[in-house]
Amino acid sequence: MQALVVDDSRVMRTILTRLLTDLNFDVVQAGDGAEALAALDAGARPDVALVDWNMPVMDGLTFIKKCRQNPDYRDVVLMMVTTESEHSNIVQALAAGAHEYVIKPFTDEVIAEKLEMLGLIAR
Amino acid sequence: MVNTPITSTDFSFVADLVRQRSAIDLQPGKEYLVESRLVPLMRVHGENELGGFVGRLRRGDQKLIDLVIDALTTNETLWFRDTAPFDVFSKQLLPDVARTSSTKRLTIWSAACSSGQEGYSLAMLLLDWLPKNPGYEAKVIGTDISRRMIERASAGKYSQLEINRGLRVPYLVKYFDQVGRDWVLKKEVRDLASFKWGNLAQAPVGHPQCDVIFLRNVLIYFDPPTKKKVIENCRSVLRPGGYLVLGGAETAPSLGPNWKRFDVDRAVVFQHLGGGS
Amino acid sequence: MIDPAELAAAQPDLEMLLVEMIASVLGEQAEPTGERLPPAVGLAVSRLVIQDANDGSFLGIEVRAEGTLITTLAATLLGVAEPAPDDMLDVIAELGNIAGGNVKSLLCHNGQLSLPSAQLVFEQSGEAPDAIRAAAGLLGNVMELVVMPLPAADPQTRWPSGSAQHEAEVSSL
Repeated sequence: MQALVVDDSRVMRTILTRLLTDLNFDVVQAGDGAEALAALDAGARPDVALVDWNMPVMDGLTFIKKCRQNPDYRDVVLMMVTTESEHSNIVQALAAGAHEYVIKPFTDEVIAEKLEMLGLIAR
Repeated sequence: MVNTPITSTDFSFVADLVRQRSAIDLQPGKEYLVESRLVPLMRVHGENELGGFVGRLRRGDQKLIDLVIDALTTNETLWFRDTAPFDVFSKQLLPDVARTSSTKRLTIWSAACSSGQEGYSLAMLLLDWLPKNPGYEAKVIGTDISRRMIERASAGKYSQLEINRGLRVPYLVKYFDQVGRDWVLKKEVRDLASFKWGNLAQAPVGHPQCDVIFLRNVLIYFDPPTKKKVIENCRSVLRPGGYLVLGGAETAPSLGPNWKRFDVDRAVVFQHLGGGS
Repeated sequence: MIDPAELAAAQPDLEMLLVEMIASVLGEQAEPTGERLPPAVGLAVSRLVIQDANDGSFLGIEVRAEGTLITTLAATLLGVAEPAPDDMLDVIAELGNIAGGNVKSLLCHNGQLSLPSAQLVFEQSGEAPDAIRAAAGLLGNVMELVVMPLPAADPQTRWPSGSAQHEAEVSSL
């Protein structure tokens, strides 16, 4: 299994990468939405992308919309992982094509539970 | 990591306390559980080691005793915990009990409901199902040994950390309102579910007949005679043809000839075939 | 513009938010405390701004901690033996970001949250009289979360791509 972690915070990328690696994912990192799209365009086909919302260059919501517009990327499961924690944000993210949504702060088991719910891991 | 292991005398004192109050049986070997639940309480109450903390329980600090009972009888609760039992409920159990129901009024019991996540998860699934099946009514009843948990469940209000735990996000946006950083279940969900105090080891009084009972991850806490009593109490309110759902992690006990076991995915389900225990 | 009384009433929620954040992100048990950060000590500070969608007013958010604490946390979170200043800045920035989003749901629905700006400083700047402060103790140290109404956003504030504030910046270049 492969995962793409998209976050402008190196700390958050490190935390998520460590967690996903423990769950047997190979992890590719991107520092913003544009880098993430570039990784997909270059052929990366992650099973899941964990995407922050507020980032420079290209924000996570825009990334999710662009990702959903390209049929080549339709199998990538999109999970927003963000401090944006309002009802309206979550509705927007789902409408854009996100499958799941995790509000920061989260604990390790939160991510694992969501991945399990999405059928990406069995525990 | 617990750096203050519990002594065996303190452990048996706590186990006795819990047994008297809840019929839950903490056998030796469950020290880790007691430590992991008590250490946070101990810190909050200004003690540095469990000996001192248990000393306060021995001296009869009632408020602390209540908190300890709560801490030790409360399961970690998640929304849609373990996924599979809820899938089975929606896809198989609910359509089946609806088909065979003579009243078209379905009752689901969340036994040992803790802070209500299981009961409300079932209520949300019922809300998905009811509009597609006109003519039916449905309700969820949750019971728990802890009055504090019943208060919490009845309030239907959860922190951001709690709603992160296992709740499918489409359900969050559909069935919750945000109040500050907390999330409150919408009235339509709360109207479907009610919660009351109940001890599983005592014969249920005034409990309605049920179509499905969720009794998950509780039997492990009981000694064998109490376990039998709990299952008999469930049987006495489960209509013939109804279903008992147990936790996947617990070794399913042999329930006797009136039950038919079938496992779907990782859900452990027994159908009540009718007749006595 | 947020009502000062509403802001003051949110103090216990801010304390809880800080404790939750420390427990979830850092895995450390923290307790609310009345203690303050020592006056002259190396600090790591993260600053963010929320702009109210209705009236355009600004709310400032700061997360502050002693440099030594952030060094310890950076070592754990980033898995480096001797964290460099950049490591410390990244840690405090993300703590500010997490706190900021949560403050927004608490106090300023539908506002726009800026990106964090992190600094290592050697003395505390004065606090506005209407600032609301929450503090939590962990590992023998104090971490503070301060929320205050601001007359204007610092011109250096960075806004995320996709936000109206960012669009305005880009078009004014």
